[in-house]
Amino acid sequence: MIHLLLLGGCEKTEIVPSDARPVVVSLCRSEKPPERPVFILEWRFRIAEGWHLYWDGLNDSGMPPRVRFDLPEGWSAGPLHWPAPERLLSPGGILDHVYHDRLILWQEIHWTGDYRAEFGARVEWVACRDLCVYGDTLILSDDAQPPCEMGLIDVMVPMRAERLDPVWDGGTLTLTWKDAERLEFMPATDCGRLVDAVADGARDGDRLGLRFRERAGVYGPARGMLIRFRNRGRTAALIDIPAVPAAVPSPGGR
Amino acid sequence: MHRVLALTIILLALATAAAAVPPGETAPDFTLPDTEGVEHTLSAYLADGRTVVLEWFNADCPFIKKHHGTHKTMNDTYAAADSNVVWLCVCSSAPGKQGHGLERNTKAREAYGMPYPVLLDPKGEVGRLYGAKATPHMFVIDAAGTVVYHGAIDDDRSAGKLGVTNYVAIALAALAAGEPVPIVETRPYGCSVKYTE
Repeated sequence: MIHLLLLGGCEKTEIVPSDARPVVVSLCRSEKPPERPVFILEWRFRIAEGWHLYWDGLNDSGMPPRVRFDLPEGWSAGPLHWPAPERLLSPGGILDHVYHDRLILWQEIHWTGDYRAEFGARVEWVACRDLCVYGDTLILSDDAQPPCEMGLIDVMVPMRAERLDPVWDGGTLTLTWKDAERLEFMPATDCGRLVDAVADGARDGDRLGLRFRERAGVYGPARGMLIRFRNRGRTAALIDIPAVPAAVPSPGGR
Repeated sequence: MHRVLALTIILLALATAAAAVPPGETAPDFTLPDTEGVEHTLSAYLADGRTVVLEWFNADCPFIKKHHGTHKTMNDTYAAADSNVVWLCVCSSAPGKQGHGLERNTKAREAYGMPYPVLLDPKGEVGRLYGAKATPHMFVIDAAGTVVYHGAIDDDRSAGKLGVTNYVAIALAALAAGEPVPIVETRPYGCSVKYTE
């Protein structure tokens, strides 16, 4: 089913998500043409109580929202940027990384020619609670209106590996993030294979040990999002710890 | 004897982690009734030299609708397979959860035109025994009782589009030709299996 959403000052045409329609999608971009050939497009997902959407990392189930564009000639879209999700452990040891209540994604659009040229996008999502539903929303550029909520967007920055004092012991990688009360690791889809993401992915304290399975002669890489909990707040960073050889030949050995 | 062994394995599995049975491991035995009341025992099929495909199933999951409704991936894969293949759907949805129950699965089997049975596992014991995470989560078991493939049905993880590569079809073709299965494991995708708490 295709829904055409009229947005805008949000309050006037607000559609409230409900069990019958658990996700309401809208978009925002600046009205004023930017001086640079790039602008930010902001996707907003409002999620009904009790439901969740999925992160674009490693999950046992679900599907992250997808955006498929029909852009004017010469325009192109950059990758979606994702905020830090929450861990969700379901019966059966099913581990997912999800968003509740609201999700804001953003991406760069490279434009040329007429900034006001019309474009469209189809947004697909799967929302779940104790059941799952699939949705498909068609949005046109004319539907987009400010105000955007850039101030609410988590901008993820890569963290230098040295800051986490990574130590490999065989296939186990220990990471330390100073002053953390709790750490959670959320693996990206191209992360090395973990022995047990459920057991290893979250731990109280400032240290987290991740056990990797050997694959193609290496352990790792540890690629994904690391979240530090402290003083009831949380800080997230992208990490990319390179893989290490699974077996180091002993000196003099064959 | 089979039942005692199966129960022992189930209890052991419940006490340990819920990882999927990996390729190369022996497929745990089980007995489950289908929507017609017929009991199916894995070891009985294996004793007859059959190859068995297990498909975790939830009739109302969008990913199951994609492969049974919008497209006929599962029916087509079964139809193209060697006649030696037994295909068993397993519904591990708990009471009150999506896709649960005799009535729902009887109707779904008819609506989807499924030529194979839907087995009912409302306590999720067999689902947990296999570490099934998603619907559909596929397992291919050779006649020796070894898991030779587990994971996704294909390579498009969306709820709408069909993939280009059908991993189960590839595994079944390899078994029929007496060759090693070239891809033994992928990441399953779909709805979470709706287990009991």
